[in-house]
Amino acid sequence: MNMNNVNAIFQKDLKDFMANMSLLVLPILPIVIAWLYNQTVETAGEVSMPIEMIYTIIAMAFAAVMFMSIATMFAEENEKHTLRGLLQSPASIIDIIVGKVIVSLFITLVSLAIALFIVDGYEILKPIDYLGMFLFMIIITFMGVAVGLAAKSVGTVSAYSLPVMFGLVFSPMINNFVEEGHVLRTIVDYLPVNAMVNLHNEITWQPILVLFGWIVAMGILAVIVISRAKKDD
Amino acid sequence: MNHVINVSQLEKKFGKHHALKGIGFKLEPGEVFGLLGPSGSGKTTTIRILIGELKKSGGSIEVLGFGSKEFTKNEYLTQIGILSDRSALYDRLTVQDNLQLFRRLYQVEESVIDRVLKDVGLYNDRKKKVKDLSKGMKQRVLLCKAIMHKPKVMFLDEPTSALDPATTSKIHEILEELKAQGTTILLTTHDMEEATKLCDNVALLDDGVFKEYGTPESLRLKYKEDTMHVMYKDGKEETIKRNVENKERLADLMVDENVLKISSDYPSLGEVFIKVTGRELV
Ligand SMILES: Nc1ncnc2c1ncn2[C@@H]1O[C@H](COP(=O)(O)OP(=O)(O)OP(=O)(O)O)[C@@H](O)[C@H]1O
Ligand SMILES: [Mg+2]
Repeated sequence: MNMNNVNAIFQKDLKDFMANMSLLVLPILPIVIAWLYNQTVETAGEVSMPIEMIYTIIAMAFAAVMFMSIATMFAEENEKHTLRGLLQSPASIIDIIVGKVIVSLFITLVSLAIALFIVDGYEILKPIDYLGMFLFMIIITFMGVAVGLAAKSVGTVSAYSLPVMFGLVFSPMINNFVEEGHVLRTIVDYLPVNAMVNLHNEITWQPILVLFGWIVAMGILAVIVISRAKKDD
Repeated sequence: MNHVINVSQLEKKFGKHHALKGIGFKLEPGEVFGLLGPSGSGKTTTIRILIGELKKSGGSIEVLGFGSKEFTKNEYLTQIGILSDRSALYDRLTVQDNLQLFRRLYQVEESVIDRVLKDVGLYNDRKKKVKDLSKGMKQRVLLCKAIMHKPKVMFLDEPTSALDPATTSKIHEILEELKAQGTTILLTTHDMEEATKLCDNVALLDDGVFKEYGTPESLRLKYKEDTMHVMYKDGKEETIKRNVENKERLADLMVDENVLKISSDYPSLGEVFIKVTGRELV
């Protein structure tokens, strides 16, 4: 990794992000959802927001903002044939990935910080939650890079976004509809966001292992896609 | 003399399709070499192999002392410049911001951007977004990007195709300047006038083989025919063989007042091409 190249890519992608309307709306989503949730909870007269709701906001920030922006940025480089130009310059694929990830992480964290502030999330979250979020961020990074590099167009990424949203963002809600011991609950326990909720409720190894499992799986996927992108015949 | 590019018996197969069937050429420092050929003859394929985008199927290549296995390395890529119809820019960014990215990556001084933009006549458009540029302007920005780091060798795949005459001559001007500075240039073109004007040597590529190779002048001389072309004032034309039997006839025509023009049949490069390959270019 070359910091000069990472910086060049970062500056370019930050400018490009700011000029791209379809990406700029993304960080607004978690903030709007947070505001809506807050209204609902206040009207219902509840004291604090259920942890599942907090986690849909966190998941929304990582899935809708971070995943979508990383994947869209790479898919667009593929679609417009600009990735080749970058790879033929002194920039390596790792420089390009790191530059883009920093841009989307920066925007994601700003959006998440505001959203959590709206729902008083900082009072509810414990230190262990931030470890979960850190691991989740790694999963999302690998996923975004893999999907974005494999996608030949921005349209393909949009098609991926729906299952990602349902698989990640709304999975904790299932616990509200399904009784304890149901197979569906066992299955969703293996989804990363549910693992984060479980980790919040009780610190055990199981959810941490689930998150590491996802990191390894997505990491392998990303490495395969990256090595294919480098060759590109 | 050491050659900058040394290609011999280069072959490329796409599955069963034999796109290049053993071509060879050598370029001296500062030489401009033109690959001419009809659509599908293998021009782009040759360039893509030389810039590390495709792997060769056979033969040997060396550019600036690098073997083909090293064509994806930075040490090689920083010494070459590439312009092809596959080159692209970032639409939402300005001309300046696009060049700024590559200036940072190649680590050249800031002042280079203004200088190259002035060279191609786009300095006043530097704040425009790329998506608002015309095709000819985009091509000039791409040329800036390709020359900014002062490459030793340039690969240009149809640098002027489908451009207006003004942009074309601007690009020619810059290429001639680069040549004067000692840059070695390999270009492909469909434009025979361009090739005649710019190239020291050309190769006529047809279906993956070189049909001819040499200076534009030598090819024209080789394919000239021993005939005289006569144009009359009434629009009629005639071709007369130049030999002893026709000596008096040609002498008479010289003073015939019905004759508009007498010229020797010295073929253009385009005509040579048709004679060699039996088909039109493009
Ligand atoms: N990636 C590829 N896969 C399969 N066949 C290919 C590929 N690239 C080129 N070809 C084939 O190789 C031959 C040469 O193509 P190439 O693009 O080099 O021609 P060209 O001389 O550049 O033509 P043009 O003047 O139209 O640009 C063609 O028959 C083409 O179909
Ligand atoms: Mg071509």
